[in-house]
Amino acid sequence: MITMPAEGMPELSMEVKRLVVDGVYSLFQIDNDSHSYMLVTGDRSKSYTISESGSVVSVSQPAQNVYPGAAHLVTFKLDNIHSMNFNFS
Amino acid sequence: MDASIKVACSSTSWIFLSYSDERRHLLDIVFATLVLLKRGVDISNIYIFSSDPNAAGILSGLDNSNVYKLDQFDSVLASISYTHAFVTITGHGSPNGVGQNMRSADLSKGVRSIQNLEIGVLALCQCFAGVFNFSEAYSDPKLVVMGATNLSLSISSTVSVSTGIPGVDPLTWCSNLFMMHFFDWMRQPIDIDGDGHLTVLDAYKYAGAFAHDRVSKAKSEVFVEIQDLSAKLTQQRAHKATLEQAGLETLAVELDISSILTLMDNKLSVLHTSQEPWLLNANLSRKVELIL
Repeated sequence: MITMPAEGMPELSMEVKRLVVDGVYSLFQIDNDSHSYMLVTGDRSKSYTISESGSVVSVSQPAQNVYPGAAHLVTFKLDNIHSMNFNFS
Repeated sequence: MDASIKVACSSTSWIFLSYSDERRHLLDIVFATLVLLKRGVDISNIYIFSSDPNAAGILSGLDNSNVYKLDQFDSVLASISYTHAFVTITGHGSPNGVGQNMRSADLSKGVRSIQNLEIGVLALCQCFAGVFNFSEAYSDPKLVVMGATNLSLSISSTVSVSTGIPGVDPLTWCSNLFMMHFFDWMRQPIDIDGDGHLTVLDAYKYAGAFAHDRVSKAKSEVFVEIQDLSAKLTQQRAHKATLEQAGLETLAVELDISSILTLMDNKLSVLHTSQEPWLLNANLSRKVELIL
Protein backbone atom coordinates (compact mmCIF):
# COMPACT_ATOMS: atom_id res chain seq x y z
CA MET A 1 0.00 0.00 0.00
CA ILE A 2 1.29 3.46 -0.90
CA THR A 3 0.78 6.08 1.82
CA MET A 4 0.84 9.71 0.71
CA PRO A 5 1.02 12.69 3.04
CA ALA A 6 -2.19 14.65 3.57
CA GLU A 7 -0.86 17.29 1.17
CA GLY A 8 -0.44 14.74 -1.64
CA MET A 9 -2.74 15.15 -4.65
CA PRO A 10 -3.55 18.76 -3.65
CA GLU A 11 -6.52 19.11 -5.98
CA LEU A 12 -8.34 16.20 -4.35
CA SER A 13 -10.62 17.43 -1.57
CA MET A 14 -10.07 16.40 2.04
CA GLU A 15 -13.50 14.72 2.05
CA VAL A 16 -12.47 12.42 -0.80
CA LYS A 17 -9.15 11.68 0.92
CA ARG A 18 -10.98 10.86 4.14
CA LEU A 19 -13.20 8.35 2.34
CA VAL A 20 -10.11 6.80 0.75
CA VAL A 21 -8.48 6.48 4.18
CA ASP A 22 -11.70 5.02 5.63
CA GLY A 23 -11.74 2.37 2.92
CA VAL A 24 -15.11 3.49 1.60
CA TYR A 25 -13.53 4.65 -1.66
CA SER A 26 -10.65 2.78 -3.25
CA LEU A 27 -7.76 4.58 -4.92
CA PHE A 28 -5.50 2.49 -7.13
CA GLN A 29 -2.36 3.35 -8.97
CA ILE A 30 -2.98 2.38 -12.56
CA ASP A 31 -0.51 -0.25 -13.70
CA ASN A 32 2.34 0.86 -15.94
CA ASP A 33 1.50 4.49 -15.44
CA SER A 34 2.44 5.88 -12.07
CA HIS A 35 1.02 9.30 -12.98
CA SER A 36 -2.59 8.18 -13.20
CA TYR A 37 -4.90 6.80 -10.55
CA MET A 38 -8.35 5.23 -10.41
CA LEU A 39 -10.82 6.26 -7.72
CA VAL A 40 -13.75 3.88 -7.21
CA THR A 41 -16.75 4.81 -5.08
CA GLY A 42 -17.92 2.43 -2.37
CA ASP A 43 -21.09 1.39 -4.16
CA ARG A 44 -19.08 0.89 -7.35
CA SER A 45 -21.49 3.22 -9.16
CA LYS A 46 -18.69 5.42 -10.50
CA SER A 47 -14.97 5.39 -11.08
CA TYR A 48 -12.84 8.43 -11.74
CA THR A 49 -9.50 8.75 -13.44
CA ILE A 50 -7.39 11.04 -11.27
CA SER A 51 -4.21 12.84 -12.24
CA GLU A 52 -1.06 12.98 -10.13
CA SER A 53 -2.17 16.37 -8.81
CA GLY A 54 -5.56 15.00 -7.79
CA SER A 55 -7.66 16.60 -10.48
CA VAL A 56 -10.57 14.63 -11.94
CA VAL A 57 -9.82 13.69 -15.54
CA SER A 58 -12.81 11.52 -16.45
CA VAL A 59 -15.63 9.47 -14.98
CA SER A 60 -17.06 6.05 -15.84
CA GLN A 61 -20.49 4.78 -14.78
CA PRO A 62 -20.67 2.16 -13.45
CA ALA A 63 -17.16 1.26 -12.37
CA GLN A 64 -15.61 -1.73 -14.07
CA ASN A 65 -15.60 -4.99 -12.16
CA VAL A 66 -11.96 -5.91 -11.59
CA TYR A 67 -8.99 -3.56 -11.53
CA PRO A 68 -5.56 -4.87 -12.42
CA GLY A 69 -4.07 -2.30 -10.05
CA ALA A 70 -6.03 -3.50 -7.03
CA ALA A 71 -2.80 -4.55 -5.34
CA HIS A 72 -1.40 -1.03 -5.73
CA LEU A 73 -3.66 0.72 -3.26
CA VAL A 74 -3.06 4.30 -2.26
CA THR A 75 -4.02 5.92 1.03
CA PHE A 76 -3.21 9.14 2.87
CA LYS A 77 -1.76 9.93 6.24
CA LEU A 78 -4.36 12.24 7.77
CA ASP A 79 -4.42 13.88 11.16
CA ASN A 80 -7.33 13.88 13.60
CA ILE A 81 -8.00 10.17 13.35
CA HIS A 82 -8.64 8.27 16.55
CA SER A 83 -5.56 6.21 17.19
CA MET A 84 -5.46 2.99 19.12
CA ASN A 85 -2.26 1.63 20.46
CA PHE A 86 -1.97 -1.98 19.34
CA ASN A 87 1.39 -3.55 19.54
CA PHE A 88 1.76 -6.58 17.32
CA SER A 89 5.50 -6.71 17.42
CA MET B 1 -18.18 -23.13 36.22
CA ASP B 2 -19.47 -26.18 34.33
CA ALA B 3 -16.95 -28.44 32.62
CA SER B 4 -15.24 -26.28 30.07
CA ILE B 5 -14.83 -27.09 26.41
CA LYS B 6 -11.29 -26.25 25.47
CA VAL B 7 -10.90 -24.89 21.96
CA ALA B 8 -7.37 -24.62 20.62
CA CYS B 9 -7.43 -21.54 18.42
CA SER B 10 -4.46 -22.77 16.40
CA SER B 11 -6.42 -25.76 15.06
CA THR B 12 -9.76 -24.01 14.67
CA SER B 13 -11.03 -22.90 11.28
CA TRP B 14 -11.38 -19.11 11.16
CA ILE B 15 -13.91 -18.16 8.53
CA PHE B 16 -14.65 -14.61 7.38
CA LEU B 17 -17.46 -13.54 5.13
CA SER B 18 -18.03 -10.08 3.70
CA TYR B 19 -20.80 -8.91 1.43
CA SER B 20 -19.41 -5.58 0.32
CA ASP B 21 -17.31 -3.92 -2.35
CA GLU B 22 -15.83 -1.46 0.14
CA ARG B 23 -12.19 -1.97 1.03
CA ARG B 24 -12.88 -1.14 4.69
CA HIS B 25 -14.62 -4.46 5.19
CA LEU B 26 -11.63 -6.32 3.82
CA LEU B 27 -9.49 -4.31 6.24
CA ASP B 28 -11.70 -5.59 9.09
CA ILE B 29 -10.60 -9.04 7.98
CA VAL B 30 -6.95 -7.98 7.57
CA PHE B 31 -6.88 -6.75 11.18
CA ALA B 32 -8.45 -9.97 12.47
CA THR B 33 -6.03 -12.04 10.40
CA LEU B 34 -3.01 -10.17 11.77
CA VAL B 35 -4.24 -10.89 15.30
CA LEU B 36 -4.77 -14.57 14.56
CA LEU B 37 -1.38 -14.95 12.92
CA LYS B 38 0.18 -13.34 15.96
CA ARG B 39 -1.67 -15.85 18.14
CA GLY B 40 -0.12 -18.73 16.21
CA VAL B 41 -2.96 -19.56 13.84
CA ASP B 42 -1.66 -20.93 10.57
CA ILE B 43 -2.82 -18.99 7.50
CA SER B 44 -4.11 -22.25 6.00
CA ASN B 45 -6.81 -22.31 8.70
CA ILE B 46 -8.14 -18.88 7.70
CA TYR B 47 -10.86 -18.80 5.03
CA ILE B 48 -12.10 -15.58 3.46
CA PHE B 49 -15.27 -15.23 1.39
CA SER B 50 -15.98 -11.87 -0.24
CA SER B 51 -18.29 -10.43 -2.85
CA ASP B 52 -15.62 -7.87 -3.77
CA PRO B 53 -14.22 -8.82 -7.19
CA ASN B 54 -10.94 -7.17 -6.18
CA ALA B 55 -10.63 -9.05 -2.89
CA ALA B 56 -7.89 -11.40 -4.07
CA GLY B 57 -5.78 -8.47 -5.27
CA ILE B 58 -6.36 -6.33 -2.18
CA LEU B 59 -5.64 -9.27 0.16
CA SER B 60 -2.65 -10.54 -1.82
CA GLY B 61 -0.28 -9.31 0.90
CA LEU B 62 -1.71 -11.88 3.33
CA ASP B 63 -0.44 -14.69 1.13
CA ASN B 64 -3.62 -16.64 1.84
CA SER B 65 -4.70 -19.13 -0.81
CA ASN B 66 -8.10 -19.52 0.88
CA VAL B 67 -9.72 -16.38 -0.57
CA TYR B 68 -13.01 -17.28 -2.25
CA LYS B 69 -16.02 -15.70 -3.84
CA LEU B 70 -19.12 -15.45 -1.68
CA ASP B 71 -21.06 -18.02 -3.69
CA GLN B 72 -18.40 -20.64 -2.89
CA PHE B 73 -19.24 -20.49 0.83
CA ASP B 74 -21.41 -23.63 0.94
CA SER B 75 -19.22 -25.80 -1.25
CA VAL B 76 -15.96 -24.89 0.50
CA LEU B 77 -17.36 -25.37 4.00
CA ALA B 78 -18.79 -28.75 3.06
CA SER B 79 -15.32 -29.81 1.89
CA ILE B 80 -13.33 -28.96 5.02
CA SER B 81 -12.98 -30.83 8.30
CA TYR B 82 -12.61 -29.17 11.70
CA THR B 83 -14.03 -29.88 15.16
CA HIS B 84 -14.33 -26.16 15.86
CA ALA B 85 -15.17 -23.28 13.55
CA PHE B 86 -15.31 -19.59 14.19
CA VAL B 87 -17.31 -17.65 11.60
CA THR B 88 -17.24 -13.84 11.49
CA ILE B 89 -19.42 -11.81 9.17
CA THR B 90 -18.59 -8.24 8.23
CA GLY B 91 -19.70 -6.12 5.29
CA HIS B 92 -23.26 -5.08 4.66
CA GLY B 93 -26.32 -6.75 6.10
CA SER B 94 -29.95 -6.03 5.35
CA PRO B 95 -33.33 -6.99 6.79
CA ASN B 96 -33.17 -9.91 4.34
CA GLY B 97 -29.91 -11.28 5.75
CA VAL B 98 -26.55 -11.17 4.02
CA GLY B 99 -26.04 -10.85 0.29
CA GLN B 100 -28.54 -12.03 -2.24
CA ASN B 101 -29.80 -15.11 -0.49
CA MET B 102 -28.08 -15.92 2.80
CA ARG B 103 -30.57 -15.97 5.64
CA SER B 104 -30.21 -17.29 9.15
CA ALA B 105 -31.12 -20.88 8.31
CA ASP B 106 -28.80 -20.89 5.29
CA LEU B 107 -25.85 -19.72 7.39
CA SER B 108 -26.44 -22.31 10.13
CA LYS B 109 -26.79 -25.07 7.56
CA GLY B 110 -23.59 -24.01 5.82
CA VAL B 111 -21.57 -23.93 9.04
CA ARG B 112 -22.98 -27.25 10.22
CA SER B 113 -21.91 -28.84 6.94
CA ILE B 114 -18.25 -28.63 8.04
CA GLN B 115 -17.16 -32.23 8.46
CA ASN B 116 -16.63 -33.43 12.07
CA LEU B 117 -17.80 -30.10 13.50
CA GLU B 118 -18.58 -30.18 17.22
CA ILE B 119 -19.06 -26.49 18.01
CA GLY B 120 -19.42 -23.45 15.77
CA VAL B 121 -19.18 -19.87 16.96
CA LEU B 122 -20.79 -17.21 14.78
CA ALA B 123 -20.08 -13.50 15.22
CA LEU B 124 -22.45 -11.42 13.13
CA CYS B 125 -21.04 -7.92 12.89
CA GLN B 126 -23.07 -6.56 9.98
CA CYS B 127 -26.13 -4.31 10.06
CA PHE B 128 -29.43 -5.92 11.04
CA ALA B 129 -27.57 -8.85 12.63
CA GLY B 130 -30.63 -9.45 14.79
CA VAL B 131 -32.44 -11.13 11.90
CA PHE B 132 -30.07 -14.05 12.64
CA ASN B 133 -31.13 -14.18 16.30
CA PHE B 134 -33.31 -16.94 17.79
CA SER B 135 -32.02 -19.40 15.24
CA GLU B 136 -31.88 -23.11 16.10
CA ALA B 137 -28.52 -23.29 17.87
CA TYR B 138 -28.98 -26.15 20.32
CA SER B 139 -28.95 -29.29 18.20
CA ASP B 140 -25.63 -30.93 17.29
CA PRO B 141 -23.32 -29.57 16.20
CA LYS B 142 -24.15 -26.78 18.64
CA LEU B 143 -23.73 -23.14 17.75
CA VAL B 144 -22.94 -20.03 19.76
CA VAL B 145 -24.33 -17.08 17.84
CA MET B 146 -23.71 -13.45 18.68
CA GLY B 147 -24.68 -10.20 17.00
CA ALA B 148 -23.01 -6.81 17.15
CA THR B 149 -26.39 -5.17 16.86
CA ASN B 150 -30.02 -6.15 16.88
CA LEU B 151 -32.56 -5.07 14.23
CA SER B 152 -30.68 -1.90 13.43
CA LEU B 153 -27.40 -0.56 12.07
CA SER B 154 -23.96 -1.78 13.03
CA ILE B 155 -21.53 1.05 13.57
CA SER B 156 -18.11 1.55 12.04
CA SER B 157 -15.75 4.37 12.92
CA THR B 158 -12.29 5.36 11.80
CA VAL B 159 -9.40 3.99 13.83
CA SER B 160 -5.69 3.91 13.24
CA VAL B 161 -3.85 0.89 14.54
CA SER B 162 -0.13 0.66 15.02
CA THR B 163 0.80 -2.80 13.81
CA GLY B 164 4.58 -2.61 13.63
CA ILE B 165 4.30 -4.50 10.34
CA PRO B 166 5.91 -2.85 7.28
CA GLY B 167 3.33 -1.93 4.66
CA VAL B 168 0.41 -1.89 7.09
CA ASP B 169 1.68 0.42 9.80
CA PRO B 170 -0.41 2.22 10.73
CA LEU B 171 -3.50 0.37 9.59
CA THR B 172 -6.17 3.05 9.27
CA TRP B 173 -9.73 2.31 8.22
CA CYS B 174 -13.38 2.78 9.08
CA SER B 175 -13.54 -0.21 11.35
CA ASN B 176 -16.50 -2.36 12.35
CA LEU B 177 -16.24 -1.56 16.04
CA PHE B 178 -17.68 -4.75 17.48
CA MET B 179 -15.51 -6.94 15.26
CA MET B 180 -12.40 -4.87 15.87
CA HIS B 181 -12.84 -5.05 19.65
CA PHE B 182 -13.65 -8.75 19.48
CA PHE B 183 -10.31 -9.45 17.83
CA ASP B 184 -8.61 -6.96 20.12
CA TRP B 185 -9.75 -9.26 22.93
CA MET B 186 -8.19 -12.15 21.02
CA ARG B 187 -4.97 -10.17 20.86
CA GLN B 188 -4.93 -9.57 24.59
CA PRO B 189 -7.67 -11.60 26.29
CA ILE B 190 -9.17 -10.49 29.60
CA ASP B 191 -11.23 -12.57 32.03
CA ILE B 192 -14.10 -10.09 32.09
CA ASP B 193 -16.41 -12.12 34.33
CA GLY B 194 -13.66 -13.25 36.68
CA ASP B 195 -14.40 -16.97 36.52
CA GLY B 196 -10.77 -17.84 35.87
CA HIS B 197 -11.34 -18.84 32.25
CA LEU B 198 -10.94 -17.03 28.95
CA THR B 199 -14.18 -17.85 27.18
CA VAL B 200 -16.22 -16.77 24.19
CA LEU B 201 -18.52 -15.07 26.68
CA ASP B 202 -15.64 -12.86 27.86
CA ALA B 203 -14.87 -11.89 24.28
CA TYR B 204 -18.52 -11.07 23.61
CA LYS B 205 -18.82 -8.87 26.71
CA TYR B 206 -15.54 -7.11 25.92
CA ALA B 207 -16.49 -6.41 22.29
CA GLY B 208 -19.99 -5.21 23.09
CA ALA B 209 -18.97 -2.95 25.95
CA PHE B 210 -15.94 -1.39 24.31
CA ALA B 211 -17.71 -0.84 20.98
CA HIS B 212 -20.50 0.98 22.79
CA ASP B 213 -18.01 2.97 24.85
CA ARG B 214 -16.15 4.09 21.73
CA VAL B 215 -19.36 5.18 20.00
CA SER B 216 -20.53 7.11 23.06
CA LYS B 217 -17.25 9.00 23.31
CA ALA B 218 -17.25 9.82 19.57
CA LYS B 219 -20.72 11.36 19.47
CA SER B 220 -19.87 14.90 20.57
CA GLU B 221 -16.94 15.08 18.16
CA VAL B 222 -19.02 13.68 15.32
CA PHE B 223 -21.74 16.26 16.03
CA VAL B 224 -19.27 19.08 15.38
CA GLU B 225 -17.92 17.35 12.25
CA ILE B 226 -21.44 17.12 10.84
CA GLN B 227 -21.91 20.89 11.28
CA ASP B 228 -18.70 21.49 9.33
CA LEU B 229 -19.73 19.08 6.59
CA SER B 230 -23.13 20.72 6.33
CA ALA B 231 -21.49 24.12 5.79
CA LYS B 232 -19.18 22.66 3.13
CA LEU B 233 -22.12 21.03 1.39
CA THR B 234 -23.93 24.36 1.09
CA GLN B 235 -20.74 25.97 -0.20
CA GLN B 236 -20.09 23.28 -2.82
CA ARG B 237 -23.67 23.27 -4.06
CA ALA B 238 -23.44 27.02 -4.64
CA HIS B 239 -20.10 26.52 -6.38
CA LYS B 240 -21.62 23.89 -8.67
CA ALA B 241 -24.47 26.24 -9.61
CA THR B 242 -21.95 28.95 -10.47
CA LEU B 243 -19.94 26.59 -12.66
CA GLU B 244 -23.09 25.39 -14.44
CA GLN B 245 -24.18 28.96 -15.16
CA ALA B 246 -20.77 29.67 -16.66
CA GLY B 247 -20.93 26.45 -18.73
CA LEU B 248 -17.85 25.02 -16.99
CA GLU B 249 -16.96 21.45 -16.04
CA THR B 250 -18.60 20.23 -12.80
CA LEU B 251 -17.08 16.74 -12.49
CA ALA B 252 -14.81 17.55 -9.55
CA VAL B 253 -17.43 19.45 -7.56
CA GLU B 254 -19.95 16.66 -8.12
CA LEU B 255 -17.45 14.21 -6.67
CA ASP B 256 -16.97 16.51 -3.70
CA ILE B 257 -20.70 16.84 -3.09
CA SER B 258 -21.31 13.09 -3.21
CA SER B 259 -18.30 12.55 -0.93
CA ILE B 260 -19.62 15.04 1.63
CA LEU B 261 -23.02 13.34 1.57
CA THR B 262 -21.40 9.91 2.06
CA LEU B 263 -19.36 11.17 5.01
CA MET B 264 -22.45 12.79 6.54
CA ASP B 265 -24.41 9.59 6.14
CA ASN B 266 -21.71 7.58 7.93
CA LYS B 267 -21.37 10.11 10.74
CA LEU B 268 -25.11 10.45 11.24
CA SER B 269 -25.32 6.72 11.86
CA VAL B 270 -22.71 7.10 14.62
CA LEU B 271 -24.63 10.01 16.08
CA HIS B 272 -28.13 8.57 16.03
CA THR B 273 -27.73 4.80 16.27
CA SER B 274 -27.40 2.91 19.50
CA GLN B 275 -25.75 -0.46 19.01
CA GLU B 276 -26.90 -3.20 21.37
CA PRO B 277 -25.31 -6.66 21.00
CA TRP B 278 -27.00 -10.00 21.66
CA LEU B 279 -25.93 -13.55 22.38
CA LEU B 280 -27.65 -16.86 21.65
CA ASN B 281 -26.71 -20.03 23.56
CA ALA B 282 -25.01 -17.99 26.28
CA ASN B 283 -24.51 -20.99 28.58
CA LEU B 284 -22.45 -22.73 25.94
CA SER B 285 -20.46 -19.56 25.28
CA ARG B 286 -19.50 -19.53 28.97
CA LYS B 287 -18.11 -23.07 28.64
CA VAL B 288 -16.14 -22.54 25.44
CA GLU B 289 -12.66 -21.75 26.67
CA LEU B 290 -10.26 -20.37 24.10
CA ILE B 291 -6.73 -21.70 24.29
CA LEU B 292 -4.73 -18.89 22.76
